[in-house]
Amino acid sequence: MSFASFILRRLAFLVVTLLVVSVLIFSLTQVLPGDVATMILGIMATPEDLATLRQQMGLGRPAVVQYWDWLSSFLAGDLGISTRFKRPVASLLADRLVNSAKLASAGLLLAIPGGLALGVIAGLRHGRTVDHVLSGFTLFAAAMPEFVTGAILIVVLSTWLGWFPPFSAIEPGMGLIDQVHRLALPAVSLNLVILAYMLRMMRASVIEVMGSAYVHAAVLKGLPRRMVIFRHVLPTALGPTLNVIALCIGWMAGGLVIVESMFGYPGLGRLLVFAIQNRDVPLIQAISLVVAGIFAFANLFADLLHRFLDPRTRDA
Amino acid sequence: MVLAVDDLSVTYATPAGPAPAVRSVSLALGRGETLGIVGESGSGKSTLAHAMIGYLAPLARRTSGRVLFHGDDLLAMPGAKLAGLRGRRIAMVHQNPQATLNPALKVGTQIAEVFRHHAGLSWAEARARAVENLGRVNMPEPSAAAARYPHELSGGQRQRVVIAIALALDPDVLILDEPTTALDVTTEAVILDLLRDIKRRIGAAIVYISHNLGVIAQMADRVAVMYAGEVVEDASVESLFLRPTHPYTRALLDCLVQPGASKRTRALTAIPGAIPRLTQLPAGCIFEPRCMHRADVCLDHPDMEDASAGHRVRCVRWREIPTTPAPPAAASASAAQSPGSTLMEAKGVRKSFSEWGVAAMLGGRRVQAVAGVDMALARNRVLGLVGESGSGKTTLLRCLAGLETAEEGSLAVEGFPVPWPVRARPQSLLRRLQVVFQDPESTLNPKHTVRGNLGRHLRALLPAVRDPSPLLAQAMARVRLDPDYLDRYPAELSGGEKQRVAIARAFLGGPEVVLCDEPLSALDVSVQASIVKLLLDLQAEAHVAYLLISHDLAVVRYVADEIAVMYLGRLVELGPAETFDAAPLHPYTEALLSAVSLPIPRQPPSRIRLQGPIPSPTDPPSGCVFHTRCPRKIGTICETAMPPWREGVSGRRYCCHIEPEELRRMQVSSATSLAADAGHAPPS
Repeated sequence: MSFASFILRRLAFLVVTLLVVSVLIFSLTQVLPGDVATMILGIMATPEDLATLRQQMGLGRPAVVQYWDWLSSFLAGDLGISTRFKRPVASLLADRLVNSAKLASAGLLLAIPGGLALGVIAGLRHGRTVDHVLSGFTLFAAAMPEFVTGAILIVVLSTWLGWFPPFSAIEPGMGLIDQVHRLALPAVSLNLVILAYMLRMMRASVIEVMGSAYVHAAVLKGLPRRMVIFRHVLPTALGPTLNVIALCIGWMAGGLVIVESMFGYPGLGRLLVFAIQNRDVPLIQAISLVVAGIFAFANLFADLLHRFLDPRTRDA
Repeated sequence: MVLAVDDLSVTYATPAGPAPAVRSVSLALGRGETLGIVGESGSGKSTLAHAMIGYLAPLARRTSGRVLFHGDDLLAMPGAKLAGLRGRRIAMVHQNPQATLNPALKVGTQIAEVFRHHAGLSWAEARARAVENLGRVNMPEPSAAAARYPHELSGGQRQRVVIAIALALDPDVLILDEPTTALDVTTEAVILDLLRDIKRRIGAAIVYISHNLGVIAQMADRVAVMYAGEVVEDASVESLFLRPTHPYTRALLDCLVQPGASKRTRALTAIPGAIPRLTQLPAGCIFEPRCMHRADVCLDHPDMEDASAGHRVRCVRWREIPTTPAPPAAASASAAQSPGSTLMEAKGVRKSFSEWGVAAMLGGRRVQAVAGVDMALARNRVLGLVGESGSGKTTLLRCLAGLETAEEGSLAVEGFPVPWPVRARPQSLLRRLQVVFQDPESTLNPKHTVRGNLGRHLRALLPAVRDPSPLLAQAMARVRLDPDYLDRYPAELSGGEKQRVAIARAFLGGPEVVLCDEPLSALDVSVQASIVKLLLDLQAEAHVAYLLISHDLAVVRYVADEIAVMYLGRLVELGPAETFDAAPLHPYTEALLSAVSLPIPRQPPSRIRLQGPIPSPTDPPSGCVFHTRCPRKIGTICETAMPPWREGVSGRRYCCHIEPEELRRMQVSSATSLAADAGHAPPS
């Protein structure tokens, strides 16, 4: 199949996926007790006020029409007005999204290359001491939820040693070094699990490829070990791990909620918690859809890379 | 001597204790010589082959001896020096070309690596040499092929690539480890032609490892026969096949179906018992427990003795064993049964598959796996179904068994219509129509004992049975297994024993028709013979009809009463089995027959070869579907018109544009010219 038709098909899939997600998110407003008008005006509102607001917002129309209305304005960039902040959702989201992206990428830049490299080392030294140590570490790290890791890091590195601030708000105009210093603890607690997961995946993948007949054949061709590893083992071993990276990126949204709340970091996760606590439906909808979109694009990207690395997938 | 193995022993560490997989093997190999190593699974031939390139598996250890390459011990060499020899002066070709090639690299690159690394060429030069090498192995369009990935090539082309890698730097030693075992018969024949040609062109010492005595007879100059880790006989190929001396070698040759043999003329001789476990080897002669000539002297471990010049044998009794072959056993009992009424009749069965999900949604094409097949099975008869992989044999069988739902056509058992899908079939029908699958490993649940496996099947077929024990004991007796096998797990059984259990399962409910999908191909030669014997004995007892799918034409000709030949989802020839050596044959049948390697040394290879792989069933050729590969194609009529069915000899029918007389003339004249080339008189 040609590259263009592959991309077109995957984009079509992506659109369908996001549409399904948007339907689910929209139906949230329909199933929650009390409608949007009640949420905005509160339980003390008079029936007349509520009726007027419902009229203004078009809440009496059929759900399909309301959905279409919501979706088309969403696509046009109008994400609605936050019921709590009484401000456009789009402007609320923009800053927080940038902050979360900083936190997530600071961690991922550490977790992905680190996890992959350590996984390759463990896989190549399968059954030796290094492998046992690294595998033991991953069991430990993967078993600990972010709030435990975060709490330990705060107690040890911040409270006892005082090396890092326990509170990670980033003010405008801070230098890069300062930002990294502030981000270190939340980034590590957010990504330790992902690092461990990457490591385990890559290790298993390397062990499997090392045992394959074509690697055996490459050794018996007399190729030096370095060439066997870099040309024959790593490219194929990376394929399955890439898809896990994409899954991790989606899964990280959950981690962001916890870590941002712990470190008081002004990101998307904390905003989501706030929105849920206050039943701020337009805000919840917008954040959910943004997270779903990021997740879908990460998967598309992983599939593209996989296709690049493994020619067999190009014909499927 | 280029390569010498001197008293080599290799032992694996296993949970059950040390397993000495190779014991005291001594072999020598000179320039230009081809040494065949033949043995069944577990004989240690692959461990030996790897030791010859200086490789021992991580859990393997050398316990004695050396492997000398021009006098240097490969197993004691520093890694860098060894890596410098591998791929350059000693090269190896493995069994499965699909697994041996890296799926993520273009095949040209995989050949070029050898030039780049060993000869120090630039990538551009190395790539040019790679293309040149693909030409040496007769790859069509070498420069286009070099730019392809392994999955874009056919099985035969992939093996050409692997051979091109091995030949790249003109090695002194070429080790071929079952190089054609994973290929179809027709592809095997083409690759054997290439290897024969290479053998003539280059002066390398070649080690040819195979379980297939026919292939060894064609390829080797000298043959070493291995059994359970020891070389039991070592002789020139002529001497070995004309005067086999070790009882194991003889028994192995007796297990083979001789050309032209049939169950109507002689029964097969099987070797009783199974190869011993390496952790529990007998103290004396390793073949003693299974040997029909054993005596008390055999309880001491024998040494190699010279039976004649250059013919060594590890048997103390070789002088006393009668040299005349055992008189052929009487014809098989099942052959005496007269054919009964028609049990199963299929008409116009069609089955196609869509390409996977999304492709199908976007207007994907259908794969026509079975394109309208009629067949009938009579009581007491065996219908053999042959064809290359991809011909649709297995899909047809799965349609008959109900595992696939046919789109068109009808099926009747004893005149009663059999519906699809299988859920619509009443229990009484399921009981009458049973299947034996190819791989006994995967058809028995490893988590349950034999009793559990059979018991579950019995409950499904005969739910009224209260106490299954007597029936299960009877089932074991039927397949000649001890009743205490019922409490063993599949992992504790040998391959042949597992297949016996699978057969017992098919016979639990008293079947009328048993569909066998390659029941022999996962088994060793000596075990195959015993399973063939069992199937025929069961037929004589239970009067069933068999449909037997096999790619092994010799076995099918032996077992079957009638043979159907299938190509791209269609039958192309059908008739009595005993007529399948007389012209005129359908050109496809002719090609299948001439692809068989006979266990007769230095037979001139046949000239009938099929070029290229079987076409994709998504887009079958127009006219006669075989015209793209047909060696007898007569003209445009083959491309445009569907061929008619014609009467051949004695009730055999074939589907071809060529008249029987004309076809016979073509086939007889090519056999004559071939025999003349080889200096023999034409067969009368």
